[in-house]
Amino acid sequence: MNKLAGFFIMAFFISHLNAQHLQHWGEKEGLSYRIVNYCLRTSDGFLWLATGKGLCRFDGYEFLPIGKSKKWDISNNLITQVLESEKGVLWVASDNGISIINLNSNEITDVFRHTAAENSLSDNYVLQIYQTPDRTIWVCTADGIFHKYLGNGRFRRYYNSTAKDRRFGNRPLMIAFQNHIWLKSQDRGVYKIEPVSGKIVQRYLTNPTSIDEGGFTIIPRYGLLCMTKEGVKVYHVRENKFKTLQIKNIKDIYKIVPDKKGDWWVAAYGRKRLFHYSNETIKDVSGYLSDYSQNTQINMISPGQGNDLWLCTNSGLYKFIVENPLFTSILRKDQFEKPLYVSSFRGFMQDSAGDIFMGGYGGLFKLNEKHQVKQLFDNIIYYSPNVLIDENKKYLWVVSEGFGMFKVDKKEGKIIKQPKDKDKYNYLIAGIRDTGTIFLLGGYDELVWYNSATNNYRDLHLKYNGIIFSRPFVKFIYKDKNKFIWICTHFGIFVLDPTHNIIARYYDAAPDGYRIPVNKVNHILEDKKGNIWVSTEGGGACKIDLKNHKITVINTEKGLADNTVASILEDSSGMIWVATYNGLSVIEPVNNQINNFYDEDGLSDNEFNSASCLYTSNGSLFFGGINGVNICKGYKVLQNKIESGNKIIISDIEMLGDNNEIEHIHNLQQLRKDLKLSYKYSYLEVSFFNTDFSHSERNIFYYKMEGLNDNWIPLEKKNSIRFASLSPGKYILHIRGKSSKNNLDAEEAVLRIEVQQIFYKTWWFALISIICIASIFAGLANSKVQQVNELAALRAKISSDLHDDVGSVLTRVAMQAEIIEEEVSTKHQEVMKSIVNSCRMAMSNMRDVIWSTDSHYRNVGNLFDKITEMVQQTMEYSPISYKLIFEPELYELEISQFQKQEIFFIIKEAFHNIVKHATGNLAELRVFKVKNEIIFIVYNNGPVEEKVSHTGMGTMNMIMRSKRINASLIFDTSEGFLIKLVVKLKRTYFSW
Amino acid sequence: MTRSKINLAIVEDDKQIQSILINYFKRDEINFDAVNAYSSIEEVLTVVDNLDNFIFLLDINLQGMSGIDGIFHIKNKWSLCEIIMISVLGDSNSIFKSICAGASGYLDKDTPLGKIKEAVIALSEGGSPITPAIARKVFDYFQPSKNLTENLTKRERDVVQGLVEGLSYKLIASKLDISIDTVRKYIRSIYNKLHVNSKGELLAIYRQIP
Repeated sequence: MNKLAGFFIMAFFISHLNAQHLQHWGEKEGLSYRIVNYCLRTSDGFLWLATGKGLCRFDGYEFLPIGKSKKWDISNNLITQVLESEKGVLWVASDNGISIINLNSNEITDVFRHTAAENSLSDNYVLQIYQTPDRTIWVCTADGIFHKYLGNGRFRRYYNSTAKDRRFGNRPLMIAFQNHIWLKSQDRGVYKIEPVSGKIVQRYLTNPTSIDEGGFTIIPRYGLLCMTKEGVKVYHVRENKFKTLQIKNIKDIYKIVPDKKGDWWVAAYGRKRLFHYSNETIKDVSGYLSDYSQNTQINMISPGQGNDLWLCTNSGLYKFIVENPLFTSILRKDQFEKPLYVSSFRGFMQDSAGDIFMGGYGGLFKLNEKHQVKQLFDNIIYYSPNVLIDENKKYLWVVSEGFGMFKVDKKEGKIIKQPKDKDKYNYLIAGIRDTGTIFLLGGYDELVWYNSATNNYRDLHLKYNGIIFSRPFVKFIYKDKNKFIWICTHFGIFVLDPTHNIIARYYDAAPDGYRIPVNKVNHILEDKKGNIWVSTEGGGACKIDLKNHKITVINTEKGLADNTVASILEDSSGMIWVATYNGLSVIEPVNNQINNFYDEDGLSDNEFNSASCLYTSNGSLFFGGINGVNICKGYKVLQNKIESGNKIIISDIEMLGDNNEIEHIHNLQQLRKDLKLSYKYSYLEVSFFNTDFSHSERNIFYYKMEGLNDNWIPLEKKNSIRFASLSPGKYILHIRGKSSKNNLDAEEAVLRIEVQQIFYKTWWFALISIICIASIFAGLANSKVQQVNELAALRAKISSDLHDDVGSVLTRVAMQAEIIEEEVSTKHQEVMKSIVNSCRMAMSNMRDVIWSTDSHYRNVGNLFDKITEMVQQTMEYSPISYKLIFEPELYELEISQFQKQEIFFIIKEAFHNIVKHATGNLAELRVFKVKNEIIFIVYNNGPVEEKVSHTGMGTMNMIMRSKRINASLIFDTSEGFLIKLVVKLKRTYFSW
Repeated sequence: MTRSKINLAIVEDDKQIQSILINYFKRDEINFDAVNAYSSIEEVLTVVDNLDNFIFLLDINLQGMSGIDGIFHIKNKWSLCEIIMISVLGDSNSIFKSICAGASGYLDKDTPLGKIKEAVIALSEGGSPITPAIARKVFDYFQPSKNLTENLTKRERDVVQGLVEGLSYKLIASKLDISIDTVRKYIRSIYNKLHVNSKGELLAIYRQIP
């Protein structure tokens, strides 16, 4: 029998000092060197680390050593500090001078070292670079001198005019406060210096020694603090002196760093211990440091952008997530004096008196209005009070896993067991009161009606659409305001109407309006608008709009903390609270904005239990988890939690290049440019990060590659993407992401990629090829044209020469013969006439030949003109009338010179034959076109005087000429004299 | 009516042909009065005498300025003269150009001397020789759609059409029911109209010649 432990536990214990969620990086994790002296978050989004051997850049996932260029190499330098003097310019202090790094290119652009020149650094060991509000840069070197940077690599040295050695002491460090430079050293105290002249205004703490580089701190409300071996000294402005500031229980303070909330983080005791100081409460959190090394020494404390805290130590880099207690938690494991299994909570119930009953694994608790907790009973092993149902003012029904259903006295906690039916119905997970004494209970294997009056159980078999669900594994049962019963099982949700008939089933293969992403359902909530919110195991949360039969799924893609949802509540302002296995999400239904909360926000644990929730009468929300109960007053309390989006930055591109070697692009300048890849590349991997570093391991990403896919593809928590052998073309890679804190998208990163086409498929190669081929053809054509032109020119010359020389001679001979003909006797007149005729004929023939070789006039019209003249001359003295009919559209057609020539001589011969042999009175030439042929028909209407032999010379000539031009020639003397010449017209590009 | 004697100017660069023509025409004292010979257009243009009433026999191919180009200058100097072109090749384009430039007819060089004389006499009486090829060019030139200073009358078109069809003057006369002389006069009129229409263009062209 379990004993009831009647003791009061202190009210809620506000916990915000548990620096949980510790992360550590050492050399195993890629850090270039274990000793980290300093860290700085720069404007490019990276975290830069000053290590004992070189400089490192961190994106939340990987480290990249920076510091080697062709000219300089600081990879082995002891880096003491880094400073971003202006956007994109990083000053790196080391034991070997100062290096200036361009953050876009990661290139060292300049190095300042000690030289003989008075305007150089006095020493190469640079301890500190400090930038005053007026943007002046100051440098402290280990030789006890400090410097002011004048630009162009020049420094002004400030010496201690009051000291023989002109130094300010060992390892000086400075700070600007109240328009002066304050300098302290290990052995000579504190100097207040006028910055322009360098004159020492005053000296303080002349006998102190500091702790290494403890330095100064400025803290609001206190002002200037100085770390000394005698403790922390605070400067009192009015009294113009330093006084000891008592920080209880902490000695040997090395560093004090205030965070955003105003709490202090204190490194002390030889830098080996870390304290959190808040509202005069101190917590030693050093224990976490020794997880990785017993000798961890803190070099620097740096609060992050959120609630993250970074420690630079000599055993690596630490990140703490500092709790931001927005929640109250009770009944956590650490709050119990003795180990109990009671911290994992299940059922909740608030009765009419306002008392809250909480069932944990192995125990039952009661919380009154004053938030005083009373344990009603414990020591029940293997018992889980999953559901608590109010009976009346005196009793409480407990539906348990292990003991079935039993009644408990509310005041005393006495268990009144109910007998079970045949040892069944012990493992019950869900239950409701239906009416009066009738309950509906469910468990792993059963769904049963229970009558508390008669103690009878009656099985309810789930059967729907012909399917019997014999082992339904019931997780939750709910009765809505319309008295419909919703039974949540591993096979979806079954809905019973008030008459207990199953009327609907929501499951993963159901039609629209009834389809939920997965079948395992843990819990449902009916909100004020009558929507049903479903908690699924692995499918996120669903909202069922019963009026419109519409289901909306909200999952991690939309920013939900986790897809396994334990329970859902609605607060008074309508916000939906979703408790998951990995955090708590709050959804604003109006704009669907989601904010997520985790252990660092005060939750006792990120894992919540199924159906373990309660909305109390005073507006509090209770969520039971594996480590106690988390309580929140509502969303208004958390309103300042909403954070603005961050950025996604591409940090690295890796590809297998042309030469089969892996190439990396690290510097931001190149990463922002378009990426051009040869067609030979094998793969491409793009790495990126979210500038929210607080929980890099929780950040989720999506990508879309325009040119490859149109949809956003989730990468979950993977911060890189690889493409193998993209086809030639242009792409745009979009990367989005969300931090774990809310569903606001961080600013997208975009990378344009061009995979170049293999040269012989490129447009320019095709163009060059076309141009070359065209040039070759043009050249050939030109050559041909040139040949043709040369030939034509030759012909023209021959024509001209013939005309000038031979023509003139013939004309002379003919004219002279004519004159002689008139003067000679009749006997010789015939001879002279013959001579004249011969000359005229020679001239005429020559003219014909010249015409036929003239390349200028190649149109058919020119041929017609010549034929007409020839016919006129030939028929001039013949009694035969003639008629020439040419189809008008033929005049502009072009034919080859050769064709023109041969056709002319064939027609000429034909008309000569008519004159010689024909007996009719009409000669006709008809020329017309049929399709692609020109047809010449020469006809005389009379019978031929003699039988015309086709073997005659003239006829043979005609036949030969027609064959030369591939024309057909037909003779028909059946009815008169007819010649039909058919010439095919060819398209020639080079006709000659 | 007694026709007055013809004054002839022969422009021929071939000395022998020039000599033959001179002798031939000079022998006909009935029809011909002055018979002058020149070897080039340039030589013609140096003449100070008035050659308005001359008929020129002008070779197309001359050394120096061509016969076609010379037409403009000759007509410019002596606007009333008439010009007959003589061509060995009978290139219809050149002939048409000559006519447009102001020539009143043309002859082939292998035309018998007697025919040359006839043509000169016919020209002096108002006629103008024309071939079907030239007629076709004339026909194409005088399209109604063209905005010409002078266009052909219907009768003139009929004559040109007949010439295009290759009909002889006789057949044209018979077809149109007019006399051969009338046909010749129509042809002359057509030539004049060619001269008028092309005059402006020619002036523009020749003004550019230095």
